[in-house]
Amino acid sequence: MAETMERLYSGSRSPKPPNRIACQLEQDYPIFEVSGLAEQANDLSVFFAETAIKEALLQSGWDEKTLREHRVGVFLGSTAGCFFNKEDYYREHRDDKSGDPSYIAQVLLKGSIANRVSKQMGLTGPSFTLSNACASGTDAIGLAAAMVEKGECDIALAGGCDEIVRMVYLGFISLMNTSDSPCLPFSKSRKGLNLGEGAGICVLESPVLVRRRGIKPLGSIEGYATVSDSYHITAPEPSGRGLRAAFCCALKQAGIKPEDVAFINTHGTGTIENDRVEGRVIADIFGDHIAVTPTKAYTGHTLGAAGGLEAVIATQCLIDQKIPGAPDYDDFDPDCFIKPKKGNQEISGNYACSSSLAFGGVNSVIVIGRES
Amino acid sequence: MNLSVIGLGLVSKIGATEDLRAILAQDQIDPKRLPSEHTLAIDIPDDFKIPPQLVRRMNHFAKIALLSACHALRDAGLDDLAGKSVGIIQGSVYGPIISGIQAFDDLIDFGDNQLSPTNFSGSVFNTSATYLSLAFGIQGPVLTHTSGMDTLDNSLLAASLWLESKTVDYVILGIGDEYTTYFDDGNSATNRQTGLLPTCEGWTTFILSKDEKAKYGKVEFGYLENLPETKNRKNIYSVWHERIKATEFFNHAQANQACFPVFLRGSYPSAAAFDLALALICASNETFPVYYDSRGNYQVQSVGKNELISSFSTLENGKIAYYKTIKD
Repeated sequence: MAETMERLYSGSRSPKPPNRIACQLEQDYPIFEVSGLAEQANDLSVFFAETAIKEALLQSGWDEKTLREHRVGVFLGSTAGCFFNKEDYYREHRDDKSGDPSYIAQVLLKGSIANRVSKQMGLTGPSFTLSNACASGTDAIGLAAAMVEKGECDIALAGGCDEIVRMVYLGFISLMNTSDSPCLPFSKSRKGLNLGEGAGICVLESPVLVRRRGIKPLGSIEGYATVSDSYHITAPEPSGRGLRAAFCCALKQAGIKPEDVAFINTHGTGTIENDRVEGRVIADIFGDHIAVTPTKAYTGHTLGAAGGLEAVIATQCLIDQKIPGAPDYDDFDPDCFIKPKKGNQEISGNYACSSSLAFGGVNSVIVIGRES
Repeated sequence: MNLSVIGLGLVSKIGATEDLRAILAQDQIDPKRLPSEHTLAIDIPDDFKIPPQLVRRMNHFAKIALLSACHALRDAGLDDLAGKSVGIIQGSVYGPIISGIQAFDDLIDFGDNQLSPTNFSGSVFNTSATYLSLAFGIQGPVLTHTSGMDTLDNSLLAASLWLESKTVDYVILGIGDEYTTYFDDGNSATNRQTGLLPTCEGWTTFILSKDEKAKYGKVEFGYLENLPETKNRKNIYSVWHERIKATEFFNHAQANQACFPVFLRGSYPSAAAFDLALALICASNETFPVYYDSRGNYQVQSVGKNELISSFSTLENGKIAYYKTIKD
């Protein structure tokens, strides 16, 4: 967490050609790859989730043994970890029939990522793996918050985890929305996204438990909404009606007005249409001077993990009362209406929004509150 | 926790809901006379008014889900969703595995620069939810999850959250899996004995609401240990995903009013949803197919109005979940 925030506030980033995955293409596309993980390469999504959960539990003052005395749910968003990371085994089996064809089925039947994490930790609450494409992490947190509020669990480990695998890397290239240089969210020169990987996890706790433990939370989930465009399988609806509705519903649930929001951690992938639609909707609702931070410029697009990572980053930014800006460019596209500042920006306020736009026209927004 | 079921839509090897009703109208069922296809031919009838150009773009996985949803909406009398507040929940254990495997094949057969964008986008798990929202014009919340053996339980939990919080008035809740020969090339006998490896495919859609008088009554769900009626198990007509678990249960209770519906729907991991639909249909029919003899024949019995029909499945944490039908 500390390293991530330091990297963001320093304005430095270093997407590089893929190292762990090997591809035969005429050209490399830069990605934000977590290095030094070869030993865990078979189950990276789970590894990322477990690593982030450990850090989150440490920060929240829970040890795993005490945690098991409560009903703890696990809510994880993921995409690649659900199936795409099984290419090696499929290739091996299909080529020489040496493997058990049911291996992939057996892996899938061992349970989803959340099931596996929950079992590994000996937890007894509900375990959901949300696979709503790039909104999965945001949806996991939103659903988890509602489950805690409803009393389905006392504590929820919620967020997202995802890994870069060949299928995803090559798939986004096939969709022609990957940039061959560092991504430039909301820039006139933007050419597409850079993929990233990792996990972002929040420990959500019921107010009763918070009071009993006498702790001061880092933040709170104040509102959440997800709304479908019902427009196109991959392209966002041009007017942004779904995203607009998601922002409005989330703000209403939080009981706040747009002017109460200190900043927005945008989806901001750096793709042409997504940035245009998102920028327009944000400017319409919050005004074109709203502080925005496009953190995918530093993390890459971590797909199912993105909503989790960005919620965690937004929470820390609220605590710090500052946000990272665009790293090294300021040629913002007037068609996007919003303008991330170059360099860090001081902010003032108790609420932040984090938005996610996903494949299939999913629009999800979360409102995070700062404990004052 | 109660959810009203106002419509059901089945896509299964025996057909749709009406086909299941017809089977349940017989006195006896001989499973050997039932269809045994692995892969189902999916044809979306024109009278559902789904744009043909949309159907043409869909993969098999999405078509199964869509056909099931069309049947369920019609069953619920919700052919037109204009102006209605509707959410979509889709759950699957394997997801769109055929498109995923085709995408792998693209890479292996044609090279890294020849991955079909259609196969790639079709292999994303929320593809069925996406096509449902497009087909029905639903601009509401859409959730796709893959939760192993908890898929039915989690789906009902999420639906109840949406309905209780009045996020939506109706939920289209669809659960299923598609069949792939990849898992079933003759070397998987041991694994198939678990009853979980797919030998078939199917999709079950429930139209849920909170307040309306429900065509199929209500569903209450929870852990078996919390089901009050377990003290008198003889009166439970029960549908079981796993026969071995039923045996444990019945040995204790010495009851025998059970159905193991693999003969009706084949085997696939998310089939607990079919089993719940079967329980609901039996409750509304007031009949129940009881396991009859060692040859696997079933006898359809009349069931009194006040007797309990419930389905059961084993969850990821090893506990048994019950799904109890309650008549309105």
